[in-house]
Amino acid sequence: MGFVVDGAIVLSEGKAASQGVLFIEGSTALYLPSSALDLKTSIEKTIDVITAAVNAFTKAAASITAIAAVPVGPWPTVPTLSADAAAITAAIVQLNATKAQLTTLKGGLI
Amino acid sequence: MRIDCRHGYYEFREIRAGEASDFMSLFGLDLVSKGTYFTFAELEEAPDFSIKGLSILGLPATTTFEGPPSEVFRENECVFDFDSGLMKPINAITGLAPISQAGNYYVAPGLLKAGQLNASGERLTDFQGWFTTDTMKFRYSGVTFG
Repeated sequence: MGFVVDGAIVLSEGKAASQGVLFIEGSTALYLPSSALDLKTSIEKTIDVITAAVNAFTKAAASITAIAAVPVGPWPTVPTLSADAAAITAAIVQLNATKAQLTTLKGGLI
Repeated sequence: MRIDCRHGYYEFREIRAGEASDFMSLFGLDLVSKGTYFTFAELEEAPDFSIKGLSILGLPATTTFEGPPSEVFRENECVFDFDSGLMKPINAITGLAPISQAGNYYVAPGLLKAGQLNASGERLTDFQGWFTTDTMKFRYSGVTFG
């Protein structure tokens, strides 16, 4: 790990740094990048994005709920925002469910 | 005891029980069992592959190759020097092979070393040898220079 193998045939079209397995037979060296490791990285990043979105939506739903809770007075009627907050809350539930599925998928990769 | 040297990798096989122990006592060289044969202790972990730039028993490999240790040594042009206990490039071995013909075999006063030269400047690479404590002599056949 962490060394260059001159003349190795890389079984991949990608040119970025990667992790994988080196096969050597006689004087022939083949390098097979691990797509599982790349996929794991992609899944982790998606989980991070979902987590950030859930946090943002949670704050937005709380803000909307707080706005909707302002008492009604002699001033104009405050719009009803509880339905919008409910939609955001439902989206949060779906995103958390997707995140759980991705976490399970990541755990099944090599 | 039969001694086979292929490209600087040595294998010792007992013909009679105790020959390996006798050899170690006589010459002060440590041998270890490696399955069906004995070899020098320093060669116990001889690799079956090399990666250019990485170590072969302390010597940087010159090529990437996979195969038995003797072939790894051949491809990397290195041999084991049992006098120093080190892996060396074959071209770093000095001295003539002290070998002479005796009938239908060769004799030498001691264990031949891969890399030693003949009169033509060629390097010893392979041999089959025998050593007996009865006569305390080394006999050789199939000696290859290249």
